Amino acid sequence: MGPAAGAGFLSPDTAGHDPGPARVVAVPDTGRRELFPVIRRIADGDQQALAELYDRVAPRIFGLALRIVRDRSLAEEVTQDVFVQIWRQAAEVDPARGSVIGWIMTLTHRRAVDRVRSEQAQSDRLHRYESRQTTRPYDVTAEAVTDRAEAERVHAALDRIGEPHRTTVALAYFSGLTQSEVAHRLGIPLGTAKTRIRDGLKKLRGQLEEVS
Amino acid sequence: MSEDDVRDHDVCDDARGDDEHAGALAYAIHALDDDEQQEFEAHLAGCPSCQDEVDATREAMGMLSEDLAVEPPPGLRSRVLQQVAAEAAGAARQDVGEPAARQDADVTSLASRRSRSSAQAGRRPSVGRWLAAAAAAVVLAGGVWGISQTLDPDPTREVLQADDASEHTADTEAGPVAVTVSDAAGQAVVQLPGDFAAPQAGQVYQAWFVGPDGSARSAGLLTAQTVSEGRSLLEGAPEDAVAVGLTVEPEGGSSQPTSEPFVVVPLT
Repeated sequence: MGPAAGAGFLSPDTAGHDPGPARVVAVPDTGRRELFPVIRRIADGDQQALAELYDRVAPRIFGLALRIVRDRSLAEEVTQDVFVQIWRQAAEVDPARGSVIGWIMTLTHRRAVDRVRSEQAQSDRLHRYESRQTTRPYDVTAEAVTDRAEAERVHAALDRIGEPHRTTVALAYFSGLTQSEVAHRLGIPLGTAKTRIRDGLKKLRGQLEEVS
Repeated sequence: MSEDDVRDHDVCDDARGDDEHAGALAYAIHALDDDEQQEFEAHLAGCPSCQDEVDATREAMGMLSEDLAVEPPPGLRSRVLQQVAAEAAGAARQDVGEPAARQDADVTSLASRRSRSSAQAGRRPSVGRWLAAAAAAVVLAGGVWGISQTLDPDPTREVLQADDASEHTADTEAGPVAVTVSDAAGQAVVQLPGDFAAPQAGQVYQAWFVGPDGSARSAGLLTAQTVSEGRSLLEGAPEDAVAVGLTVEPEGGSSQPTSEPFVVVPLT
């Protein structure tokens, strides 16, 4: 198997497997203006520029992906897919709509959430089909909210928004649950889940905008 | 804010009739299900204030990741750069597929992009899921294919002629697709009917070993270039795979399936 094929094998066992201590690393400046020239060069087909971008933002992509998919090899795949997508879509980056890093992290979040959901869906399908399946249903989200130390500021920002918003937002953002799934998971009405997500995100956004 | 306050607030929003804007934040963090997302995107197209809300939320949440940075494994950089180099080479050979890849208005809505592309009816058979597909033993007409990597033909024969070779098939409109597995050789070969359709420009077929838990592990790419082969050694060992599935993927392949399989050959 080629290196790119990866070990995209997410078993119920690996789902509960701790992906290892998150080594928080120093991140080079990924400021708003800094990255636009790089993204322009990528849009022009400059592979060297992509390598430069990798060196600057890969830890953030990998870190967020890991936080969501909870598995190092899956997080590697997400990271790889995100860079291919950056390569394909760099020309679409619109400075008027936000920073390059904001765009990249949104791509990363989308991709990681899709991965969590497709693993879940494939698993569900197979469970319906495979009667000999004996392991517990794959559940990436149950333990994903609070079981690992988070980086300080993230932790602080989340804490400041308070419960019930903290858990609700974490389930939606870091565990990739939809509003309906959040409602189901927490045993609350859908309308309540929607409101908590909305209010929680507003609060969190306020927090984050304050520190920036 | 108490729970009751929250509910009152919600009712208040509804009463003001601005509920259609309410999905902006959940949409921004990909927390809407497919139906809700489509509905909100229809609204979003004509609502600049919601677009601002979405953009601002994504910008803020992007900052959240700053402190989550984790050093990726050392080998990943070269894999990424290799894949992009391959992608660039592919785009140079045929820039036909490229505009389609760049067409997304909302760069982040991969899910809707997927549903758009599968909605381009006739481009590929939209068959169900790994298992629905296995049960229905699916589809696809015309053409042949082969694996992109240069493969020594000998291992292929070795698998096909192995004493412990077991053959598994799925019927398609073009005829049976067969997967032959040799546990002794630790490999598997896929054989395709003569009329099997070649992948379209900018796309490849990708084979996957489907694990007992439904996970997909890449078993290699099948491109139009190797159409004449009609059979291919799959990459990697079948191990405990319960099925081999085939999906349509962008040129260069994907690390995980990005579309539903159009053929599934159960191995059990």
